[in-house]
Amino acid sequence: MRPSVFVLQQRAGVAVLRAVVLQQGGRNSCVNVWQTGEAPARCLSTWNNPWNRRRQSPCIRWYSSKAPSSITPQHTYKVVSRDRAGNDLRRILPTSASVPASSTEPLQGDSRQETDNNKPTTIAEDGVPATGVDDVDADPEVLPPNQLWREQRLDLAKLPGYYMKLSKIRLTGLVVISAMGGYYMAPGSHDFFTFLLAMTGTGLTSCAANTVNQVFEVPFDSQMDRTRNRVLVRGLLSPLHAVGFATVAGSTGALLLYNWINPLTAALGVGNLALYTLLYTPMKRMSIANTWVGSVVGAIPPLMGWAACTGQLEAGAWVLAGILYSWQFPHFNALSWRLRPDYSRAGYCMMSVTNPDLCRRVALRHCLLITTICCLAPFTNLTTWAFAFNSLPLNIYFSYLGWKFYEDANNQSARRLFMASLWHLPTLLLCMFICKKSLHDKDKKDNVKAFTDFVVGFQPFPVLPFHRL
Amino acid sequence: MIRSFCTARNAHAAVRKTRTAGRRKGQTKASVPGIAAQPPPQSQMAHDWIGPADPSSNLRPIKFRVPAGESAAEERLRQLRADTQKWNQEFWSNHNQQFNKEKADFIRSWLEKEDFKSVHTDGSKRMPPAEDMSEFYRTFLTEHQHGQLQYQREWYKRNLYIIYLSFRVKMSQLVLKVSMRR
Repeated sequence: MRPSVFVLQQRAGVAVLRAVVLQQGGRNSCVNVWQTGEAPARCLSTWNNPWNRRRQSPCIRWYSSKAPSSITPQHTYKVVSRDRAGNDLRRILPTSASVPASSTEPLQGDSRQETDNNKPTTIAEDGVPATGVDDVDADPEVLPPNQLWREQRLDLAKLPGYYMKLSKIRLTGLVVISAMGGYYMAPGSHDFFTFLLAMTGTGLTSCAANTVNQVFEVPFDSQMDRTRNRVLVRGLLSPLHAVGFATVAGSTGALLLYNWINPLTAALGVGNLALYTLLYTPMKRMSIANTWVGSVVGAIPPLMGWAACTGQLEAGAWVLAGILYSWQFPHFNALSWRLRPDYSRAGYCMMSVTNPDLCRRVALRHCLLITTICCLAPFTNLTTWAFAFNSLPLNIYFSYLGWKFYEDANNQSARRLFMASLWHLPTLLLCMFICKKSLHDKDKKDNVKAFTDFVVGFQPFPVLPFHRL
Repeated sequence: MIRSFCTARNAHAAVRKTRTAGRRKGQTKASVPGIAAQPPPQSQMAHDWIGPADPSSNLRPIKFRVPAGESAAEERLRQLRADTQKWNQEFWSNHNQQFNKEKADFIRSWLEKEDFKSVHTDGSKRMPPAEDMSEFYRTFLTEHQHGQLQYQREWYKRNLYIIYLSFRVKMSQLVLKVSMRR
């Protein structure tokens, strides 16, 4: 039987890989398989009966050589598509570890391929076709390698989904949450409708910023694995449509903030939008200073929330902004560490590529800076002293991971730091919300006065026993 | 023997189920409207068609539709888009080819320096560790940065002009539609 290339998938979103099956033994014997991707082990057994039938692909069970029992399958992959590989296997064998297994490169077999082998067959383990088999706009990791042409006709039903993807809805959600934090921590009076309007305005300006970013990054996004399935890269919307969406969202958000909140918040929102689209996006390819600009972009939303509540930016607002500014560095540096090949090829100037030592140093520096800021936060009457102590374990652990990344930067330490940054910030903010000063105002004590009283009044003994000398 | 028993039974069950799934699956991908292995001929095209990513440039080619009563502005826009697509394709396929070539050279020189064989004992290819590869990524990025900046400037200009022209074309189409309705 001719060698075939199978694209296998463990489950949606995980471990798409290719297996080239070179030889086939008897019914239950081993096959030799080359694999690209992160499969744990070689395939030891497969079903041979269905191979004689067309349009049916087997499931291949993968056995780990380290398994306690070689009978128990460790992972089961389902075959997502299958191509006849022909005799030229060198092209398909893995050439480098950085070749992504989930790339959309079409495999080119010989031209005598029957048409039905070109059709992607998707059969799940229990015989039921996998979801999304006829829906090209489904999660791309569920789809087989995309060898088909698609008509560029706008599907109105999918439009909300497209808009959410364009505006990077998860990132926008996090931006809005940080603005909510700013609103909550502000010492002004809290009004539900003001809050709602402020958050909507912030969200809309964030949507606009992300959309414009995507419009200008289409050829660069298509080079990188992480971004090659974006809406504009796949041609699901035209650039004009995306720009129109950004204009409507941005202007609505800005007008909303100007009209119903205050001009300061609107100015911050528009300024953030301009900073992100006009400065950060082009700078990504010009110099590594883009990371600092991007951190400022991330620090502005809490300022917007604060300004929406009180109308001005007191010291506490800058503390909050400082925490978010410093947080961006370990977060982004750890993320970019693992993407160095992609950034290098696509031409992005990132610290992790051009100056890895600086990358690690800056990440650690800002981890320690977060710790310092949190310890000094009570001085601004933003929080009680309890916050300085409650946040210490969190920040110390985060700084420890930053130290590990600084000391020995590899994929594992980068991943740990990145994952920790994802829960560190929400937990820190929650801690801050609990320790908000005005919640504990029953003593009506000024934190600064409390500290200075403590320092001045502190004496080692009630009376120094000088008279005994 | 246990393994053969289990897999034989499962294989049989899978065969039965996949057979019925095949019969049930009357609507394959090719019969879904708007998706095909190749775009239709010009006369049958109602919209532009976008294809799979080109393996060398990673960009998706668009086959433009040439409508019957095309105005000068529409033709200008289409020419600009086609020209930009060609220019992008050339740039990125050259760039990626250059990247792969330099990477292969780097790995080869690393192997020679280390005096290793190119293949591990278990048959997988030998690769330099991430630290050494990062050296390559750094030099590649700095070497090609000037070209990338020139490309970026040109791309921004073209993209903005395309968006501006498509806005004008869209407006003229809307005006035409409204006046036709009247």
